[in-house]
Amino acid sequence: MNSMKRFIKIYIKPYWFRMLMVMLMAGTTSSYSFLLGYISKFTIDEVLQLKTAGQVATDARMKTLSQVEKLSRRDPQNTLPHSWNDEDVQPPKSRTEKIQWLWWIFILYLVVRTLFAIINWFYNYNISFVGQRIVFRIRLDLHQKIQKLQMTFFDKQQTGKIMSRILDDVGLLQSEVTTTFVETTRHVARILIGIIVLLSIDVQLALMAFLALPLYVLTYKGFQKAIATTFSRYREAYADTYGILEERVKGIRVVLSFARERREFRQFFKRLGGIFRLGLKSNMLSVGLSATCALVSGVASAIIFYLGALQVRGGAMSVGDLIYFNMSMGSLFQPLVALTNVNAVIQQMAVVISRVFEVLDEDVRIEDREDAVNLKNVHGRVRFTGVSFRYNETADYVLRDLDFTVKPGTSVAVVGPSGAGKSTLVSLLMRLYEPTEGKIFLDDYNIQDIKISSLRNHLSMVPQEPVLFSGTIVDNIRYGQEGTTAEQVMSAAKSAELHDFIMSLPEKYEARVGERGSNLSGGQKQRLAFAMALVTDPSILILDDTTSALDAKTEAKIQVTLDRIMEGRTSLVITHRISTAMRADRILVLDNGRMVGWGKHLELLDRCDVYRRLHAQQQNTDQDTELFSEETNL
Amino acid sequence: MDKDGNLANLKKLLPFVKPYVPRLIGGVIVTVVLTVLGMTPPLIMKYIVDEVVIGGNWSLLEMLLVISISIPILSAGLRVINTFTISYVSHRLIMDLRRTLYGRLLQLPMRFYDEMGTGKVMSRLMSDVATVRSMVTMRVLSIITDFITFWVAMFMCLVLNWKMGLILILLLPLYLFNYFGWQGPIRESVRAWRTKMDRVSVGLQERLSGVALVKAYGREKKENRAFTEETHESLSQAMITAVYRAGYNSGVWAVSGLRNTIIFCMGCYFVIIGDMTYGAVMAFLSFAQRMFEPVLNLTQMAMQLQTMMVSVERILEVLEFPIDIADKKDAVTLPHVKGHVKFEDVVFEYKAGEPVIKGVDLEVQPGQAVALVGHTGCGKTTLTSLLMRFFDVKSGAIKIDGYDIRDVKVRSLRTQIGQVLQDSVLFNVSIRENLLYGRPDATEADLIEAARVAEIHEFIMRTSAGYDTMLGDEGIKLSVGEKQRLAIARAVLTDPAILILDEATSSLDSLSEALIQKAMANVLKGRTSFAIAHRLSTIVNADIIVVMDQGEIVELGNHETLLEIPDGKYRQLYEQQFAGSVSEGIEAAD
Repeated sequence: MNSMKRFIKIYIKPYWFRMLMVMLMAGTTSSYSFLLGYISKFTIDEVLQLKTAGQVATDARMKTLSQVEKLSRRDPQNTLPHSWNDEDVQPPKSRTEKIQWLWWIFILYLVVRTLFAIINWFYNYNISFVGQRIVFRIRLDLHQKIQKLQMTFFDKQQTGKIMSRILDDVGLLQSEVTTTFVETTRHVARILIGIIVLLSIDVQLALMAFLALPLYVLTYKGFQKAIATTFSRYREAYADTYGILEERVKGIRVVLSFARERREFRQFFKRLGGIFRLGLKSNMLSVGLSATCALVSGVASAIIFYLGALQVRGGAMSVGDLIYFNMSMGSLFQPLVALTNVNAVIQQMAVVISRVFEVLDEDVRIEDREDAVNLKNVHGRVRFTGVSFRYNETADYVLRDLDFTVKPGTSVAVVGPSGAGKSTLVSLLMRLYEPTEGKIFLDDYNIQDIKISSLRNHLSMVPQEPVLFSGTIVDNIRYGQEGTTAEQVMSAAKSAELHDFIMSLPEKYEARVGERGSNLSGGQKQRLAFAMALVTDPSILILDDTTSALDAKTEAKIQVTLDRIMEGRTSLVITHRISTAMRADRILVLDNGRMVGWGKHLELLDRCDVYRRLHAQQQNTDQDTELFSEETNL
Repeated sequence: MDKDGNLANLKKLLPFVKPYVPRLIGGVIVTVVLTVLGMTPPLIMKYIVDEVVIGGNWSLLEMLLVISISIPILSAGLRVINTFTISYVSHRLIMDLRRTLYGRLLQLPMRFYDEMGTGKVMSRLMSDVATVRSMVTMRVLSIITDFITFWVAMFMCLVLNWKMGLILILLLPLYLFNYFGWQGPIRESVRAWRTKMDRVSVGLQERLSGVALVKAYGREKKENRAFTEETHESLSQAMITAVYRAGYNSGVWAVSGLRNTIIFCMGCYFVIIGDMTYGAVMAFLSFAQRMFEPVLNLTQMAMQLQTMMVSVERILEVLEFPIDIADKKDAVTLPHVKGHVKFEDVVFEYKAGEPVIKGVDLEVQPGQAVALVGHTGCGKTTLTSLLMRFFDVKSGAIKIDGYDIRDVKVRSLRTQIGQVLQDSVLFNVSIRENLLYGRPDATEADLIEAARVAEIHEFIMRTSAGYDTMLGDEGIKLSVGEKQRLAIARAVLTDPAILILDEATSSLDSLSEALIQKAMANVLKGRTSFAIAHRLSTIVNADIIVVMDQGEIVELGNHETLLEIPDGKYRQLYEQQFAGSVSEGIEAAD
């Protein structure tokens, strides 16, 4: 509930005036049905002047009863003058008078209806307005937060999958938040007005009616619980079956190869039986609820109407009041039920809201120190001293005691089996994470003392799978550096050997790159990623398994480009291919987070077991792409 | 043409509905009674107001009370009965359909799964069936209810006062105009909003998946701005939708308000001039409301029907997909297999005219280890699928111990061949249940023995609940190596005479690698095996190396004999790779 308060304070408060207006409008519209009832009553009593012919009063009147009744059957208007009732306070109106009055009522009716239609419009519009605005603000705040968060957050959260879910969840708020707040006001207003109206018409009858209302609510609550549990069990059974089925369909080869069809079929049938029973039960409970509710309200209305009719007979109530009472009572049942639901909706909202705040409250751990420096010229020496890293206190170490130095302008290949910690090493250097222990130096600066923007300007990474953003080619190349000139973009493209290709496109640099860069080949995407990295003219280049997704022919060509790009730059090459690693000046071998080898290819073959094994293994693992492909026969 | 097709499709589903026809008819009858009962309260009300309250015929009051109490009781009872009937039928129907579909699915050839993909199969089995169910039962009933309600209400209005009835009918188009007039813009606007939201979420996905890059380039502020812009655009669009929606809502208010105002005032006028009683006016008002409501439902029927037809079609796709692989009538049970496998001039094609396997001849003696090598798409996997009879050969034959695999029962064939897949599919159940998958009645000792052979027993014992540790979503996550060893244990437990191994390509850490190699060596002992090999050790240790290229066997032999073939493909490529890496290494070292 605490987060709910914060939510109201932060997100709803700025719109308090609109919310207030909306609530007022809600209150107004909720009085509509009662107003309608009153107009009917007024028309019956004052205009049509309908009166009961069977009032139990003096004996004299009783005698005329049958006479009047007969008359009334033949010609109802004759019952209207009530000339026999000398106690009548209102003088009977003439026919023309009545019709005149009717015109006024017609106009009143139209005015009220139009007014309410307009209020209704504003009401609907403003509800959407506030809802959308609130969601908009939350989304922005969340997004801003994501951008600031440390990378560890994303590992914990499976690369933003959950984040995007939260952003979607927020959409739920939009429809629920405002509606819940406002509809609640509407219902409360309606019930209050209703109670006052009923009491004002006839206290005795009203009290009788109030007896029926709790019965109605109790029925509702009783069923509701059973329905909710059954339905959630039904959903669970359904989801289970769905999950199991999905597994089987995905693993159909396993099912078939173990010839498990019959058993699977039987199991599935059993599950279907469960779903069948729960589905039926849930339907029956629902109909039980609505039938009982209809029963309660139907019987209650009938009895109240009967009692009201007796009141009319006794002269304690006018015909118009009876009908007014009946109409007003009918419109009380629905808001009562709606109110019992409010709690559930609020609970649901609270979950989403607390998730939102969970993200918003997440610690931002990587930030510039106050005295962080801006590096101008970087030689490009990289030094790791005693660096260890784990994602959190309970997790195992991903990297342990790394000590090495990369001299300016040289290249180091990082090799090792998958999961050895190669990519993490790079992330530490980029300061996407902070090392748990140890320090990393760029030239002579601890990277924690350098401004993040400055550090990342001097480092460029080409990711394993090129991430391209929808937009034009030039947008993408410029991604790394705002305000780069056209020449810089072009020279980066030339260095990446993509310029000629770009010029061959009809829109040249303005050509759009589709979602996820789908209209480019793998090699072209990779080159575009190079161009992105090169546009900042970084002194240190990080290649994260850059060529692994390419076929051998493309790789061979890309490699030539790469060699040229790497010239004069310090470069860190993450790779799982020995053939790529061999090109580097030094090779760093990682296994299970530890540095198990450092040196040149032949040296390592000599003394590093892991390296030797990787090398031997690749005679075969690479056969699909290299050993048996024609392209390597170049 | 389309309609005929739809009709024909519906007919095909008739057998599913047939057993429940009497119940459905009962349901329809009760529905009609219920609908008619539902129309009585306004009439009773009219009677009470006109005859009793205004007319003064108080002796009728008690009787009318009894009637007005008994109607809700009666209809509540009927509704419960009716819902039971209909729900029973609809849930049974869905169960029957799913059961039939699943039974069919399990018989369908691999080709079906390759073509369709998991998502599509799932939606056919689950959501499409649900759509059909709700259409067949719930919709049909609501259509009946709406239809009866509309006509009875209209009839009653005309009887109560034909002049007002006519006016009501004239107002009906106004109501529809409001609906259809707004519906177009609303739909358009919602679509535009969706497109914009899609753009937002695509952008978001991009940024989230590339979050490292965003950070690496220090683009956080820029991204925030872009996101704000995109979100703002979708916000504006949402507001346009809101304006339309509010317009529609107010339109409904206006039209129904106009209707009620006119009827009320006209009715009162008729009361004054004596053409109508006030009770009749009240009854007219409620009938008028009941007449308008169902109209919209009925107009939407066509669209809903269309949705259902699509689902029906998709369900039929599964039901009518040909089963290529079924036991022959005179199929025999394959006796205990020794492990002699013979491919005789096997030809196979997925698509007619494009053979994937072009005349493969291969004989393997019991207990021999075969390594299949060749680059992706050369037909290695297809060859093993043919042996499992996931597909039937186009020509030629595959024989096990002299039996043509098409002449034996599929079940007896597959239970005697073990398969370890490259991606080692495991289910989200306990380790034990996963291992027992192929042989549920295995003893604990057998189970542990299989796990030992696959070098996974020790790992299992280290997990929190041992063999009862859950895998997957709610359980522990396994590394690639552990998954493979579990899959090997699962296959070994059935003690197959023939084993198919599709080796994973990913490189493993040193410990896993050693364990896998040991496990492989253990399980291959005494079994005929086919390995789609990615490991040097597997290839070198194989009795027969089959070098494949474009669906043909180009070389056959063991490591030594193949290396001896001058200019042989195996030797050529093996040496090229080996020599190449060495010389490059020297270059780099220089």
